[in-house]
Amino acid sequence: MATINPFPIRIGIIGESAPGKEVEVRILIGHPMETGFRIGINGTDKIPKNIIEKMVVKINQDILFMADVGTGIAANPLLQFFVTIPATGGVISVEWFDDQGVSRKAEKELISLRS
Amino acid sequence: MKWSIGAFSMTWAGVLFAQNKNDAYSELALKSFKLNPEGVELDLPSLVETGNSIPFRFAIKAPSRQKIQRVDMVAPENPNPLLMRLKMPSQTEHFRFATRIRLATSQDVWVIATLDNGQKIGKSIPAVITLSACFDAS
Repeated sequence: MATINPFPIRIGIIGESAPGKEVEVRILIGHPMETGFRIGINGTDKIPKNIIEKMVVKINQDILFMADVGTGIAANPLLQFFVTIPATGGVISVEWFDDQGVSRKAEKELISLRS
Repeated sequence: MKWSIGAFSMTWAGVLFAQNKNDAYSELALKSFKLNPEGVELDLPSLVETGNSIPFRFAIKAPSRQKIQRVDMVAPENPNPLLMRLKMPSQTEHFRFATRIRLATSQDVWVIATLDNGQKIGKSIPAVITLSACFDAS
């Protein structure tokens, strides 16, 4: 039976994946990012807040950046940035933590062996 | 002597006042910083259909022999003004980033970068929103 992952993470690497080259990385995180300001269908109750609070992006255990995220980021957050691939290659990883204690992690090889 | 004590306490009152979460990133406080806009490029659509998801892109180049330590994205009229704070332990000289933000009303969106010597550089860009993200009942 197929299971549905409610929080998918997709990492895309755009550009020439070779050591020393700069590539564009796009990370798309599936998350509802409820602000807590919206009102539900019955017109009285607020939809409970559910926000990613922290994201950590790493290259080979070196932290590239840590992000403190608030309600001002759209649902299904997209992070797009540029990295220089280390001489030995490696993996890029992203991990997020939300205010309900959920966290997910994903990683991807910077230099794909298939190409 | 009295004068100096008065001036000292007034400065500290200002600092403490600015430490308050809502005041630190109010429009007035941001303008009073008089940030140096050199090396900061922002890109945001000038007219936006809905405030729920707006593509926002910025590029920061630090002055020579300085590095970027922290980047704050601020929308002063939002219920929570701090959109995102990026902390970079591996300090970089230039940084390009894009994401999608939410805006409550038409306002200036700010990007403020803190350099490793404590200096701040930053800039704002205006955006007009036709449909608010936070205060509607949808």
